[in-house]
Amino acid sequence: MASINATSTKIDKIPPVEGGFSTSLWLEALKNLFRNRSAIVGMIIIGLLVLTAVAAPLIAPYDPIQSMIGQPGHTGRLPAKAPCIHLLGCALEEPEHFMGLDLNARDMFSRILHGARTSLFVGFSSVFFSIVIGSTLGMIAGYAGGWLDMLIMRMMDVLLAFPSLLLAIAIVTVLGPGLQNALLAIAIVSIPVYARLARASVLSVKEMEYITAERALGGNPVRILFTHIMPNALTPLIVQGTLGIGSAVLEAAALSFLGLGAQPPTPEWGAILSEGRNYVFTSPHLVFFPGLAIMITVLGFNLLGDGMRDALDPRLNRF
Amino acid sequence: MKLSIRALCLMLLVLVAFGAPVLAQDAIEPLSPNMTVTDGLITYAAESCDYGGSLLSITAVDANTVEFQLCVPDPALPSKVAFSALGIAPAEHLIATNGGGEALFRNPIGTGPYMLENWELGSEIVMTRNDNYWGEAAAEPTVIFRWNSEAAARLVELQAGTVDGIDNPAPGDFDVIANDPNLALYERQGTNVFYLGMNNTVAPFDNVLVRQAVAHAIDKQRIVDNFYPAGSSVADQFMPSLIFGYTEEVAPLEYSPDRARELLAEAAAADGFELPIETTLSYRDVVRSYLPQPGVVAQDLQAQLAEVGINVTIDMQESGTFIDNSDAGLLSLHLLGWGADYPDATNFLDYHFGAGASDQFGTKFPEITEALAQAAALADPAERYPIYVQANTLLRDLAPMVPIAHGGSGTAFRAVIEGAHSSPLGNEQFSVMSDPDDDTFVWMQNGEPAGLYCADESDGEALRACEQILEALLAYETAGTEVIPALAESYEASDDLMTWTFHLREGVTFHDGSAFDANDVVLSYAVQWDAANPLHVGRDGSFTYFSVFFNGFLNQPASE
Repeated sequence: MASINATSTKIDKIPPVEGGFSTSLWLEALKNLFRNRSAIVGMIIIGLLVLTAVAAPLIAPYDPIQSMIGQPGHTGRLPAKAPCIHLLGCALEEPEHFMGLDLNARDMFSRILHGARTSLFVGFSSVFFSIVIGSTLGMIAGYAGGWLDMLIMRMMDVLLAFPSLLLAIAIVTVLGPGLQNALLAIAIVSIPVYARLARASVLSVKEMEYITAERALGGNPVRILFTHIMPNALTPLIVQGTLGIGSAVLEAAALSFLGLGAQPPTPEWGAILSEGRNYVFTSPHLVFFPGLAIMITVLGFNLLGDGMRDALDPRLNRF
Repeated sequence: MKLSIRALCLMLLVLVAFGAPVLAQDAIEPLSPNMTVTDGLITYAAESCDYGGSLLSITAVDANTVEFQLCVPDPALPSKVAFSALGIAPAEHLIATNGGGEALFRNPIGTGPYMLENWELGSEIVMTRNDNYWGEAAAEPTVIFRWNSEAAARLVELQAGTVDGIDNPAPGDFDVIANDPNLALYERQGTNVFYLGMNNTVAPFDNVLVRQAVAHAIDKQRIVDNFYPAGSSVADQFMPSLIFGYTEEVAPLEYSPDRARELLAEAAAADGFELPIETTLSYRDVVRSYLPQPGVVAQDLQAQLAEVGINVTIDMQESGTFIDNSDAGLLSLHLLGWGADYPDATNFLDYHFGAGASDQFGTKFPEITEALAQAAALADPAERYPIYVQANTLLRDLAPMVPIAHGGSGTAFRAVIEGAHSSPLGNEQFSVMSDPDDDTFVWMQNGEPAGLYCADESDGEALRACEQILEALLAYETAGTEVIPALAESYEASDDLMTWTFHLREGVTFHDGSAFDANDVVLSYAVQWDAANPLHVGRDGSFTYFSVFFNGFLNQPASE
């Protein structure tokens, strides 16, 4: 008995088994990532966005829900006022608003900055949630096989059969509109993607010799799954997750555009876009800036996701 | 044999000479116990006034005279009978269509300057000129109705010249239109009111101090200045000053956030609730001239109420659901408005605060309902006025709602269009407009009419289309509120305002070629009035305006 234990400890210590990639492999991937130009652009964009989101209250010149009506220096009809930038020739006595005012005479720049918080929060947390649930389900299905695999994956197929936005709308309709419910809906609709990915990876990893060995030694299946299989099946999930944040941001914006996501007066890009859509010809700044913000964010995550795929894919290894 | 042929010829001759009209009149059979047909003329009468409505009988006295007997004096009757929901359709058409169905509401037959040519569902309604019109013939041979719910899209079509006139440009676009030499803007005076309704059955709004606090908390001037187009004004009372029943001497509760906070603290101490108040503000995202930017105004009110310690969650509801919920008294705070159908206080106050009003504001205030009932039964404006002073004072002090704005709106046309106008009642007349460039006038409004049997429609989009095709006994002057003769050349009322006699215009024909007579008038009214009439069908059977104008239906089933 003692000897078996000793052997299993030894096996545990063989590098590629426990940590998935070794430290050098991770470093290798990171080097690849930094060699990929689009990934760097993506990282810079996301880095700036995260910084903006964290520091929004410090950078924003105004409270995002404070109407400028009756505020010092503000006169005339304020709603939907065009941007005023002193450097670009706007009269000095007029208060500066980089992105103009929205229909409720609130500072658009402050709203867009705070909107980054909302969007990134929704993006990260919904993807985190769906990765946790989706990959757990997928791994259980892949590892256990048999009827459990059948049951879980058919459920995922059912979820996949719905157009994702339509399903999200249906879920929010049941739960009631609001940012948290929108987040939940987006998370739920993306669960099958991660479940499938995780299952596919587990199916290939579980046939490897070190897993067979671990099982032959009578290792606890849960432990095998989470400490040996999962780290080695993580790569595609990370890539998909990065790309997923981009689409989650987009879906959150879509839900808010439809009035099902963030509720007023919460600044959220989709909601800001929706409020301004009727004024696209007379006050284009109402839709231009939130649209631009959404586009840049999604572009950032897509660039980074693509770069990561290239960097983490061993088949594309340049050495 | 010879004799029988001769007899047959004679019979035929008699039939041709006298029979045809006799047969035509015989075609109308009594449809209900309340209907009698004597010498081909219809009388429709309630047994007594006990059924609760204000109409006792309608009689075709002769082919060109109709008499209305009322249960209560109604000084506003001419304004009501001019309304487009009371347009006259041929009796034969009503009978042939069994009073409802698509055959009726998709195929309106009237006497108006235009007749329906084609209704391409979801796309457009085409009307052609009625060349047999009794009045001045329409200027353009064809009028096309189109619709788009987005104000920006309507303006783009107008700028591109694909439409000749549009309804309700966005407030922010008023300047764009006014500064464009190719376009002309016609402002529409606000004969409407936008209000914040409160439900006195939902705590803490059951406390009058809280309701007054809300009234003190709202800066109406700020809302009108920033979110309403030119021509709008702050609402002091539930009706604009143009409408009889507006009382100058009743000053509104002034804007004072400090006073609002005091009242809230007082109410919180008395009722034992916590400040800030957490509640819901419901609205529908539907643009009306009384509320041109629903979402934006809701958010501004949210910010204003937060200042005094009332935190509201904004709850946007689908239009139909919202109206149902507010009528059922399910909403604590709600944003709604009202546009004048006819220019009288009863149209504003009785509909909302009278004995027959919905539960929109919770339980009714007996002191207000009594005052309104008293005023509505009086004929003399001088006698009615002091009662409205009292009613408006009560409405201010009991604060079931806060009147906020009278929204101006407008229409915009290509500058070359002659006769372009906007009507304060929203019923623009296209027969007086002409387009020098071509033979077609294209109008674009917010939405598609649900149906064109306007007895059973209450949406302005449908009513405007009906007004081109059907006519009522009287009409409102073009671009005004004055009542003018239409299918009735003249009318007179008895001294007690209980008996009204309308003298119909002779020689008028409907679009289907049939002649217009008193029976058409009586039946057009009766099918709306009598809930037990087999022709009381319509599109969905609600006949809202008739019920409001005449205080309910005859033979109304007890369950409703």
